[in-house]
Amino acid sequence: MRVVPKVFVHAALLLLSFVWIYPFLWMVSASFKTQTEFFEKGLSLLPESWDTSNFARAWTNGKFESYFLNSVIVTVTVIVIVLIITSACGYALGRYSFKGKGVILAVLGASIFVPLEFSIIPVFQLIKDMGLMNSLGGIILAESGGGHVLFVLLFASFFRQVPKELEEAATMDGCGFVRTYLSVILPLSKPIIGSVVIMQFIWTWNSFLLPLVLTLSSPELRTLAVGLYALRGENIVDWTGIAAGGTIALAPIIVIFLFLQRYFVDGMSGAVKG
Amino acid sequence: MAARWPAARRLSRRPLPHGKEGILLSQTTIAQPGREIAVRRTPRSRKIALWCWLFVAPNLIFFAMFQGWPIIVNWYYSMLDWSGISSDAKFIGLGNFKELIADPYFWNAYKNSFLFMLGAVPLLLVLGLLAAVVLNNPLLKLAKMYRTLFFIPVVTTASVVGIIMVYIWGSEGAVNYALMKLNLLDQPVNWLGDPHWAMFTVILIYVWKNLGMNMIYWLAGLQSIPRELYEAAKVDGSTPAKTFVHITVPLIVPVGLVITLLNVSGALKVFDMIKTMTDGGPFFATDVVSTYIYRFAFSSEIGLPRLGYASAAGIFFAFTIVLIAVLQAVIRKMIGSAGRGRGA
Amino acid sequence: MRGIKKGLWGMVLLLLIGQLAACSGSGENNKTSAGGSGEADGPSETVTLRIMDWSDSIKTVREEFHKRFMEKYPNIKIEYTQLTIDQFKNTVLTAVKSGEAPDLFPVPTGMKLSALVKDGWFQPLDPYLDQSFKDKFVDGTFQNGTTMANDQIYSIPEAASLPSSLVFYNKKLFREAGLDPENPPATYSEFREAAKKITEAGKGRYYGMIEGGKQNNRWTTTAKEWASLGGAGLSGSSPINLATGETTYDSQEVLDVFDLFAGLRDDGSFHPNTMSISAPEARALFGQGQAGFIVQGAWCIGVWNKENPDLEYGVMAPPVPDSGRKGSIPVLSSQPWIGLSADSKHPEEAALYLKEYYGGDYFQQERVSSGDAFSVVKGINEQYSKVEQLKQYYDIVQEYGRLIPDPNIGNPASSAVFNQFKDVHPDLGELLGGTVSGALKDYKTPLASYSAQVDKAWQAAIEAAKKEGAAVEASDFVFENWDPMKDFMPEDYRTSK
Repeated sequence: MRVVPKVFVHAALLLLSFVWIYPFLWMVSASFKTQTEFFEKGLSLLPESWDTSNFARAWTNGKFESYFLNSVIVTVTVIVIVLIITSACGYALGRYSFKGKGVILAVLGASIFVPLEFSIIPVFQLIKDMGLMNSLGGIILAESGGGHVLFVLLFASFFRQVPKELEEAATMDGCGFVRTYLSVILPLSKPIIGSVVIMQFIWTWNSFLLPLVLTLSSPELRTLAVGLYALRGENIVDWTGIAAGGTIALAPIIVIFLFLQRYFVDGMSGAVKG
Repeated sequence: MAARWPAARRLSRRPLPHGKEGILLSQTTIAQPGREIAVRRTPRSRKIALWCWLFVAPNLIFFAMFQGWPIIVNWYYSMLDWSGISSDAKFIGLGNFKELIADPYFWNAYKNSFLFMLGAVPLLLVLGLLAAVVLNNPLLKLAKMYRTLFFIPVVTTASVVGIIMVYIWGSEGAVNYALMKLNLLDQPVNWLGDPHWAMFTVILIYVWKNLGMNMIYWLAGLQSIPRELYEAAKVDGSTPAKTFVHITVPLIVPVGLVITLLNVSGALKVFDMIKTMTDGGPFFATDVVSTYIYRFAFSSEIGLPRLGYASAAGIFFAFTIVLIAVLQAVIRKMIGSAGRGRGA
Repeated sequence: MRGIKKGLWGMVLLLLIGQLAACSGSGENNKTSAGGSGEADGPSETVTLRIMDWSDSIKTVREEFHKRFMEKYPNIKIEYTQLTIDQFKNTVLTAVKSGEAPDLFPVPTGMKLSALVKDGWFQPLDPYLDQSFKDKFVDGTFQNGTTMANDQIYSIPEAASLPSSLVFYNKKLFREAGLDPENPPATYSEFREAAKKITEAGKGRYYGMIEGGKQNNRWTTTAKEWASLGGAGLSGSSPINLATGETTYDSQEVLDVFDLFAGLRDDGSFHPNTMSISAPEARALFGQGQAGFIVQGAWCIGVWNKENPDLEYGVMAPPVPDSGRKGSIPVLSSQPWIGLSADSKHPEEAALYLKEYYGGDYFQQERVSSGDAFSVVKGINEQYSKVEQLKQYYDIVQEYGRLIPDPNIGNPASSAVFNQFKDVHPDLGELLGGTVSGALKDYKTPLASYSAQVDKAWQAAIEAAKKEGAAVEASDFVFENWDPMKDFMPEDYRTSK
């Protein structure tokens, strides 16, 4: 490897990274500022006051101690459900051609452009009719709902690329449809699984309206995002509290990301030698 | 969409240029993308078809319950003169749609949605791929750290980003400070508050926020390329650039199409970021269809909200996009088959 | 995969352990709320009262109030949820539809009580409140068409209704710009001149004026109320001029306000961030001394006194046209706020809450003395209002504000028309914001077309209401005997036709 370009690459990347996460650093630093300092010394990244009361406030207002666990339970369960149903669906759609496949694809594909963020009423009614109001089960079901078209397509287009021979070999070894999928095909799709986990994690973790509306009579079942929104009022906005809450809520996601990252590099070692 | 896939597959099987037999060979034997397994009418394959449906069913059920059903309900709402609050819904057929089409501000929002998509998606795709390729290099030290850093904006909630960006792009924020220090600007611009710059700024911030996710998708795509191919290319003495163009690009096109679709639908439905940063302003300069819908569905000054009308806007928007997609697929298919006809 | 699972379950496990450790203390409470009738704390079962609103400016006092309330009545548990108005509308709508409504919740802004009563949202409060409680409120609190429907009380106002278009100014910046802080500008020209001077003195450190420009409702309020002071006869309560029944958004009075704001824009007097911030942000920047003027409501006073104790500020009336004052700032009759859900299973406990909220010895007193708002309970304001600026604010409203006629009082059926009215966009506030942002150079034409469109929408709303069987006429919205320089009193409704 040539040395000079490498240094150059790192310098460029470091500079870019700094610019990239500047807003985030700004948020972290704001979470240690007082409201006054937040406005007076907006530019500075080093807080003068190191005010930790923001975190305390975010913690109590956001009811982190009780909401955090709800968030984890809901998010983990939803991710597991979504992974199972989308990878299975992607497998069937990507690997096989069967009667009705075209219709399924067309309907799923056409649905993704309908903006449904504001039509919460039908979903609410459904959960209520199923008797799942005010239960974590209801939130989990509603959060797992939807077509997950994007995940299905990601899986389908990945599975399509897998050499047919692998499957044939498995069939010859006597593996049935399900076992071929579970033991041969699915383990190959780690990178896609990683993407799906991360993306679903972010959505569910930050979801606000559904958990709020579905727990109207049992606030103890609410999730973190619902608690965090309490910091943003109609007339009064607790900026530094929001920054602190944002910082706290970010931590688990970064951990998850660091953790899943290796699936994107796994097996690539030695692949691109540039 | 189903029509797009064969096109992608043609691309990926395009023969490689002169003298690269080694690669060609390895591609056909190892990386030949598995073909769909057609289900013929034998007892065994009937069993497989059954399995296929069993595999598809759970997702379809979740779709039907939480997306299909709400869409149908929305269709129905869109034909009502209804506030969403009282029980005084009146069926008015296509009345909402007529009113919608006559409203120049709906078309302004419609135009802005596409402008936003056209501005953001190409940037996201190209920069995302670039980031993925650079940071996919296992020899690059600290790649893991860079990837994490690039990913951070993705996980920061939109409302927090909105608040932060108002300051960073404000008249005394970091952006103006840096640009003035670099002598690129003689007086501060309120990027989000200036009708000429607001759309540009919102697009840039959206790209910033979502680039990390695109990087992940592309990384997943790059991962699906068998490493033997790269080794074969290296044996053949291909340069990294050539390897990228001739091996990487054709093989990630199928995943690339999915990523594109994902970005297009995401950008066309953008809401949180615009709502928190500009709320569609200044004077509708960044008003997109979802903020237009929101305005009619929830915030009304004197009268009641208009859920029926808002639903109509959503349905109309989605319907026209699907129409455009279908038309485009049909036209491409026609051109494609005409081209192939000549070639043969 | 195994790695992912291991990690995630590890996290869950950790949290569970933490949770269990933390739970041991609160376990008792959970049992009580689950219906522990055998507890020693009272004869009745523990009742959970759910309350939802958006009154965030007084949140800390409210929470303290709830703490005290629960100490006094240990068998009542209060579950209070605070949202923004948009979130509230969204949530309460879904909740009411499915019989999950909170026990106590306010009438959402923009909606008329009578329509909601007709739709079965609320139940009357009369059976649960005695006369001595009703007598605690200032005169005019309970009127058919506002807080009452069908001669029954359904709702109680949150606080005395004060207009929110008065101007706060920074006295320190006034001095630096060579202006007299005890003698703020009174006319449009003086105002524009003062803003310009402050901007010049600021040299980029501060500016003449700041507004929460992203928030359309602020522009609307300012445009309507300032123009009315000039004699436009507009108000937030109806889309038409209540004296003439016409839509006069392109009248000279409105154009004057637009001219003033366009002038301020041309002078560069607006804080450059104006168009990209919301009202709370504008308030905070004003608190930091970054602008000379801000148009805002009384609730700012409590915030500044708490957050910016060094801020030297005064409050003044909005400027009047150079030709002089020809009208008043519209003051609305008492506005409905909290009501009792029709589905509530605990009306007695809810009534108890209201009694403590309005008649107790903590909340109203504390609220007024913190400078947040004026109370609707007799005697509280006189005794507890200590904040100088709030008193000033009140005095200015007394001088420049006048009660305007409310069509809902004249004819309660007229709410049907409001329910049928369909907002027109871009509206007055959006046009004023567009003017300040520089996107709109010519505002005269759009104002004229807005006037015409609102007129059309209004006529259509009246027709639609009639068709539905509401006994309303266009004349219900015209009060020819209304003199904008005088309060419109209850007896005036009788003589108006």
